[in-house]
Amino acid sequence: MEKLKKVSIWLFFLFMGLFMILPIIPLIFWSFTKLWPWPQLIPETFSLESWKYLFSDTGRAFEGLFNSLVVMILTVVGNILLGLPAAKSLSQREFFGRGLAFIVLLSPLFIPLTVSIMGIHGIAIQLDFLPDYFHVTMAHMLVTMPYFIVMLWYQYKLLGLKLQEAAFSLGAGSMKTFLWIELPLITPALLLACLIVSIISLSQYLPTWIMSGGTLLTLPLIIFPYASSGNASIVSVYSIWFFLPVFILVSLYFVCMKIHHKKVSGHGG
Amino acid sequence: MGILPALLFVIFFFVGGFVQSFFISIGGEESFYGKYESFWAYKELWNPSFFHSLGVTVGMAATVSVTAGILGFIIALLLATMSYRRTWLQILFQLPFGVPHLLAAYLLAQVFMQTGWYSRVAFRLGLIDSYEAFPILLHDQWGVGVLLAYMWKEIPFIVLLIYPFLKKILEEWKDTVKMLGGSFSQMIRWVVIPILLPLWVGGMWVVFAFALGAYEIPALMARTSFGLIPVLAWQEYTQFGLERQPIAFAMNIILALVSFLIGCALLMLQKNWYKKGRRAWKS
Amino acid sequence: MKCFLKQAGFGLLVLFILIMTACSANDESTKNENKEKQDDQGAINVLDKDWDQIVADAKGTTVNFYMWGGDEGINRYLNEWIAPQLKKQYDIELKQYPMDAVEFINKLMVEKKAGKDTGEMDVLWVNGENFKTSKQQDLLLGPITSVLPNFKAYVDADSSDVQYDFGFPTEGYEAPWGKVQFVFSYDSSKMDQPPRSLEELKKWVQENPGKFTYPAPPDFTGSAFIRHILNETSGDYQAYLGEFDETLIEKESEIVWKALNEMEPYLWREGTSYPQSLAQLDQLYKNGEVWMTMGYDEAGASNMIMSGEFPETTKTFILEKGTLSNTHFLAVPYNAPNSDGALVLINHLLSPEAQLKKMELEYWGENTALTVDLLPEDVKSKFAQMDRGGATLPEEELSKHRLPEISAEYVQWLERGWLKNVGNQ
Repeated sequence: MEKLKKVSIWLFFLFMGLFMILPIIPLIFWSFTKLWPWPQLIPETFSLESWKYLFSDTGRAFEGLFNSLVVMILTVVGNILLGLPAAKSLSQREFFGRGLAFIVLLSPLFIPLTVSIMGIHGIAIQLDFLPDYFHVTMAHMLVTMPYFIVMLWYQYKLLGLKLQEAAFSLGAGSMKTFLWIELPLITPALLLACLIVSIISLSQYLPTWIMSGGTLLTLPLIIFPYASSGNASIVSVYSIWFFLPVFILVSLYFVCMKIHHKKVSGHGG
Repeated sequence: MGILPALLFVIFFFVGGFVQSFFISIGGEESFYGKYESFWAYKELWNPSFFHSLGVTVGMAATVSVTAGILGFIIALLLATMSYRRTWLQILFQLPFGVPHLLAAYLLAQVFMQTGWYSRVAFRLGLIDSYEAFPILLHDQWGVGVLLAYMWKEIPFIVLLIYPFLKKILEEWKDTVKMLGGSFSQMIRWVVIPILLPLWVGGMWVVFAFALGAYEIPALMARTSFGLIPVLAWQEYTQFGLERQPIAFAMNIILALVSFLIGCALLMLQKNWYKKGRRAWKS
Repeated sequence: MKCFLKQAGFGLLVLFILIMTACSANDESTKNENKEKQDDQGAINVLDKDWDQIVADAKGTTVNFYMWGGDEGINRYLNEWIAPQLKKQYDIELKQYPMDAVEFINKLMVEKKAGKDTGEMDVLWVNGENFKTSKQQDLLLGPITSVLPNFKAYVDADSSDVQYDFGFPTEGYEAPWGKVQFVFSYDSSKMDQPPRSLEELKKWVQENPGKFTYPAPPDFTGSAFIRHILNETSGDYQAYLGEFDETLIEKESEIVWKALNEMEPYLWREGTSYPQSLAQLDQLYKNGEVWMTMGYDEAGASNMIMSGEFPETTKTFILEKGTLSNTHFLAVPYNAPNSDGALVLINHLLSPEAQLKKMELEYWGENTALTVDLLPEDVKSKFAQMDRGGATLPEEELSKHRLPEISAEYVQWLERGWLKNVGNQ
């Protein structure tokens, strides 16, 4: 019985794992070929044209990557500055209109971006004097902040007030409480929220071109025209290029988690 | 008040933008979109074919969110209870989250097509002898392609969202439950689910709201005759000229309203559920 | 504490309302101000300037070219060939921004609404509906063609494909960049005799079920396909070139829907679904799932063979009653930050040299917008000798079967009609 259960769990994992990973494989083949008709399992003709195109001046591979990363980092910083305090007050304090405030903060989750984006653009134009990076970051923050706030709000809720109160009554200042008591406790959630924010920021298309007027060429801005015109080889090359930072970020997250785990268990033990 | 900066930021930009769009949808900005009676866009949408579309769209989004929610929960649970750590497996189940929806749709179309990669694999394995024998997964009768594509994108989202918390809860409660003589399934039922519920249901709701409004996957993979609203709205917005754009806004606002109402309903249900005394973590 | 929070909550609400009213009031006032400003100085100035002056003023500037960016050949043409030339000859930096026309027209409209005098876009690639919207909403700089030396020298300004863009008068607000004609592509290894009329196509489709389909309108290509059906079935296609007449189209479209619905059961997926875009149809063709594709580009198939995406056996055909052709254009928005540079770029793109290069298959392969008869003899012969690829039909055959486009109202009416009568049935 135990064995059967184990086998079925592994079968389930295998199936789901294949479901997740298999679509990536043709992508790699497509990046090295232009023509790949049915029923060839592996293309018969190979070419490096698409990779050459990616790294040519026209391909703008590094410009796109650089812009994407700058916006991503700014978005994460912005989320920490605005979202962290918001999540904290939402979870720890009672105040009039808390429900309403919560709904407003979460509204970007259920109102399709297409609805507000024209209006946002109109407002952004009034702030013309600010650089493009700033504009785009603002739009990305609108999209990502609900995720950030929800995750930290939930983490704070789980923690409760007790620990903090204890620290306060022992005479620690609020900054000290935050640094020594809260921060280590919320670090896993904070890291995860930052990862989610980064990844969502990397994949944004609409807010980026609206807010920058299309002048800030992030990776999605370069890729999407190809994806809708259907040149499989070019799309594949750009997709792989796009996966690179995503993959690095996810791995980085796991490394950070491991370090954190060691530290915490080191302190405890 | 830590909440003020964030709140003002969202109100100023997002809600401000929303109000402006709403204004356009009820017939404002006449100089650009033409002069019509107010609420004309909504009146035009008041017909059986739109309600049919709305039904199909909501049904699709609901199926997507519930399926992704359940499968995501199972995967997260299995990952969290595994006796030894397999980081690569976790990375695998979270990677698709980083793929933009348009790319995901494109990617999956390449494998699910009748002449796609899976069909070639099946052919090589001798399962089919022509591509016509491969099951129709794209533009199919039941929207299987759309569902599969959303699964590929949203299961990782749910896993990513709940896994760390799930792991923590399991770690913290394992001993207590054991001491009280509870079984694993009892622990899931009486401890894990009640604590995790707000986040889990919230995650499903986010998926629902997203699937309701996003056009990329339906446009590439759904049957033309489904008439899914995000696709219709996209067509109205981009193809039929300025005069029709208020209709696109109206459609999206209706979708937003649906998401909002469902979100509220979920909140109420949750409150009731807790009131009935199933709240575990304060006892 | 609690009392304070209550007040804060209430205060927020008030603040919110204040912001909203302030925003809309602000909009109104800036709009009016800007209107006056523009009447005073703004746009018209550039167009009054001497050409030499424009070139001199454009020196050392950057031009932002907003255009659809989904074709590597076109992108390479601009970045690898035009950009270095522009730099060398005029000391102008060219920056291409990939964006769909609908998107940048919407952007322009928001800018206009907000009264933004200096935008980001210098040159736009437009045609059809986009041009109509932008001209009707006063989003363009003005009649630019009259200042462009290359336009004046090499383009027959009286020809109807320059004067009208999908039936809408251009009045010089946009300069022609290229011309394309609709053709069908087929795999000659799978069929020998391509159909030449709707009847023959219907017959072929019935004999080869599942091997033909077209992109679902309102996709650009799919929409053009149903206009061909209109041409094939209509008693008098010429009637559609005039003003929009709903009774006319209502009557004749019945036959179009009938023809399409008769074909439907024999289409790919038995007509229960259609590819959403030309890209999807091309993908089906590349994989061998359908045997025919189509496109608003007579050299498109040759181009795809050259890049290795289509099988070598691909050939093209046109219908006996003709296929549609249209011109696509370049325009300058009203708030172009560098209108001098924009004009220099457009003029350069219209030079015989640039147009000749554009026609090369390696880059784009597209037909010239210039009137070949007006060119110097040596250039003329170069155009005539251009190798446009094995799958491209000869120029004489193409030009004999060229149909003009009908007005954008008809186009949209047909697209909506298709959705109602064919697609969602």
